[in-house]
Amino acid sequence: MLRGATVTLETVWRMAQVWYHDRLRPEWRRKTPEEVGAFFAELGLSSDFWKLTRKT
Amino acid sequence: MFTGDAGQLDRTVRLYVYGHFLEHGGPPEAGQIAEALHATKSAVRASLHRLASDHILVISPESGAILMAMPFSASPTAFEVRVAESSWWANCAWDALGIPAMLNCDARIRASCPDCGEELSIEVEDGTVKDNGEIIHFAVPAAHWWDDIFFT
Repeated sequence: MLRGATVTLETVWRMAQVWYHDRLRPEWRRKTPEEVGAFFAELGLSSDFWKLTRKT
Repeated sequence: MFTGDAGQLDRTVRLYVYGHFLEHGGPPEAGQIAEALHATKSAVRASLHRLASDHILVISPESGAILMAMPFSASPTAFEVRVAESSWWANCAWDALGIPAMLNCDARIRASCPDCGEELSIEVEDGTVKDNGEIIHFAVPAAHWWDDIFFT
């Protein structure tokens, strides 16, 4: 197992915005693994650590 | 009596749980949800199990009590988020920032560094986080986050 990953506070803020900005909307739905993968890639989180194999 | 299908009930229960966290700082019990939504307690319990199975909520396997409605935690954690006169516990650094992101508001986060125990303060203001050079550590690879969500 990998030992972990470190990211900047600014990156985590961006992650939080994308992940949670719409959580209170009635029409909210879980992101698909493909959507999450694209979102991580956009933030430069493309190593194996951020790859999904199941719902997250 | 609630007359919608399971999907409609799940959406309604989910929103009620979040609303309860926002207003009261913690989760409702199944009985409260049932009463508020005019649904049976067994229907609400089944809904909570479906939401947990879909990783939308985390419930106790023993009691069925709501433990997490991400980003909120039902019990105290190392991440306390203050917004005006309200405060909530978050599950992790990502979730702590998730609360002001979700509410689109300013916030002050008090956190304990899991490495050295030092108290950290993070501020969100006008849609930006005050970057003081903090580094956030993710210990568990994304594919394994839900293997043990409490550890993650």
